[in-house]
Amino acid sequence: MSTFAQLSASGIALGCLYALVSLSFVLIMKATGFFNLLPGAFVLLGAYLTYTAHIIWGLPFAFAIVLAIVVCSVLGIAAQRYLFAKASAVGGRHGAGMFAVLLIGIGTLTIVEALVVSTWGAMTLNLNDPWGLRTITLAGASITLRDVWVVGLCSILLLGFWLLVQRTKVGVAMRAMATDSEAARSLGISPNLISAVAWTCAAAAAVVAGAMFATEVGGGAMPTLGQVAFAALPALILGGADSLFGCVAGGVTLGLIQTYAAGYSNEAFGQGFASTLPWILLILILLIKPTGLFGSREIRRA
Amino acid sequence: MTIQAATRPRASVHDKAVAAEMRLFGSWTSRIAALLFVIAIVVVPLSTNSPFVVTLGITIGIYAIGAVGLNVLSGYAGQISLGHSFFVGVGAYTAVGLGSKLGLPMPVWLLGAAVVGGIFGLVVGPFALRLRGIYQIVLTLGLVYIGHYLFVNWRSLTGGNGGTAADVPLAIGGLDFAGLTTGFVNFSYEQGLFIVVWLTLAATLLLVNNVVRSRSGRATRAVRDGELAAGIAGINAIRVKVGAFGIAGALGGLAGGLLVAQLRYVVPDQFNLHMALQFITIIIVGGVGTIWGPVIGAAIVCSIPQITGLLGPAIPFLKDDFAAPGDWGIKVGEFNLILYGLILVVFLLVEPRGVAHLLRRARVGITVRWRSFREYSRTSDGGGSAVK
Repeated sequence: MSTFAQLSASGIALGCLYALVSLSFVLIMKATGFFNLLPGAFVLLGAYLTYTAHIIWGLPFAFAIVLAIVVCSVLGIAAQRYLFAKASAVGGRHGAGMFAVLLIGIGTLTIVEALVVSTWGAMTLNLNDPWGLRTITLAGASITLRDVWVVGLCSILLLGFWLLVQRTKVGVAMRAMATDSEAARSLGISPNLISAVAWTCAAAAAVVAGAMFATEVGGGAMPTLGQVAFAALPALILGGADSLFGCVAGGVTLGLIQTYAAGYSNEAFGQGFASTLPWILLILILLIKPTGLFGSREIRRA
Repeated sequence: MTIQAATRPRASVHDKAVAAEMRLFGSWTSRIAALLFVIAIVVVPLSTNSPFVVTLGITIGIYAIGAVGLNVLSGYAGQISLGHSFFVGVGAYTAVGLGSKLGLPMPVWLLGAAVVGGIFGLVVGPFALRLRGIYQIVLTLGLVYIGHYLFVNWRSLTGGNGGTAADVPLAIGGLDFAGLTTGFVNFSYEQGLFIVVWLTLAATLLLVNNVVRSRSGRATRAVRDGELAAGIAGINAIRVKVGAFGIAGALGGLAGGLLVAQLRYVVPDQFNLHMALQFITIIIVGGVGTIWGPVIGAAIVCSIPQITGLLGPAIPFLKDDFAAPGDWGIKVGEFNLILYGLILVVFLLVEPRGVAHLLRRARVGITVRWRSFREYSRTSDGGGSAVK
């Protein structure tokens, strides 16, 4: 029982981080109309920028994260203005434009990751986070303080995003843009402003996820964090790729599946079973219910 | 159709266009070029003893074969696939099993790699086609991860993470490409493999060119350009797209089999996302939806690692390994990735139709100038004014 509780706790913490990463994809998709993988690069870049600001420059941990968010959002807004906007203007929402934005996203993701590895090297860098190895005991399971903070921070961020989208003028404009971009533009909503806000939020979600991934016990900022961007994609699909709550549900489901698989599977399941299981489940789910577990939007045309 | 055309007094522009498209080699120039191409496949590798040229040629040929497959799927059928390296891996391990473990002759393992790759393509196709946009992207991406899991864990075939050595026979009938000889001169394994790879590529191009010009090729493009309209015209869109997945899988598998013959050592990590990205870069750079685009793209993209390898020592920030702390430098392998990403982005923004389109434009430009020049000289001879 205590193993189960323990696994559940770390699964939920992992799931919250996946939720943040998939939320960063959803935000960009909603605001610009295109699926874009570039926010995934901010997971890796954010962790290393936090390292540099916190360890090398000696800034406080929280301030280091904020600095990393600022740098990443500037990068994202610049990429949107000079690369993605150009490509999508040529191609349109379906077909060529979607293809071009996706591939430019993958291209820039590759460039950023290669540059990060070149700059910081291949070694694991300890972030020296404020939580260390401290644990608390809850319901018979000892949970690391870091996991508690992960869940707390994610909840605060998600609540913040929810309030922004539901209760502010910018949020209303964002939703209008996502529903009908042409009508929104004709009412004077600036697509540049909306995409800038979305890139800032996406950068915040991705950077926090990256930095928290790097504070894992025995972990640190390392090149394999780049894989997180892709590992979170099953969460995005499970959640239906269109809402904040879908992201949370998909992320936590993915985190729990992966943690239970890692905890209960034995060697007979083969190497890498835990990280492959989400993909296998994903394909099965897409066969049965092509809109994802929590999705609502009709994704098949004609 | 033929009777109608015969009874009609004059062929319309449309009939002429269809007839031109139906001809495999439209003009004498293209016929001679095709002949020269086949001769060059044999002559080029045998006349050079530079291992650099031969190795690069083999790599270009292999990647071109795989890229032709992806081009059918993305360029002609308009479907997105980030999982092409999965099919290459499937073909590679089929070749390992049939050619190396069982020691079967070349026609068997080479065709086997294509057939197994094609079967996987046909199986995956309907799954991917249920979905659109981001769902399809993520599903094809998942293939790479599931493939990696299978490759790593099927140890008896693949040797697990460490990989496996694989020697595949290159003999067909009495002709052994692994040890070609003219009686006086013995040629190397690589020189023989070059001929095998490029003959396969030539056969692939011929085959795909034929399919593209046929009814099913036109149906494929019709589905890409307007699925609803194509359906109304009586085209079964699902069958067309599954067929494209089958061709993509078969040619990816073929490339994988030949990759085993070249490297003679296979590691599961090879068939990763970066390889899939490389194939995508090849078809974008070469020209999506063109016959020669994949070959041109493969020539450009596969040359990048060779060129950076040659120039490496001359570029100060390139390092053999990752930079030590406090010292900035780019590892050669990472630098290649940066270049792939960079040319992908630049081509998508500046010339999404690729090098094939640039070449076509240059050719048209030259012929137009040449014609107007001839016209001009003829009319000015007769004392008339210049044309246009």
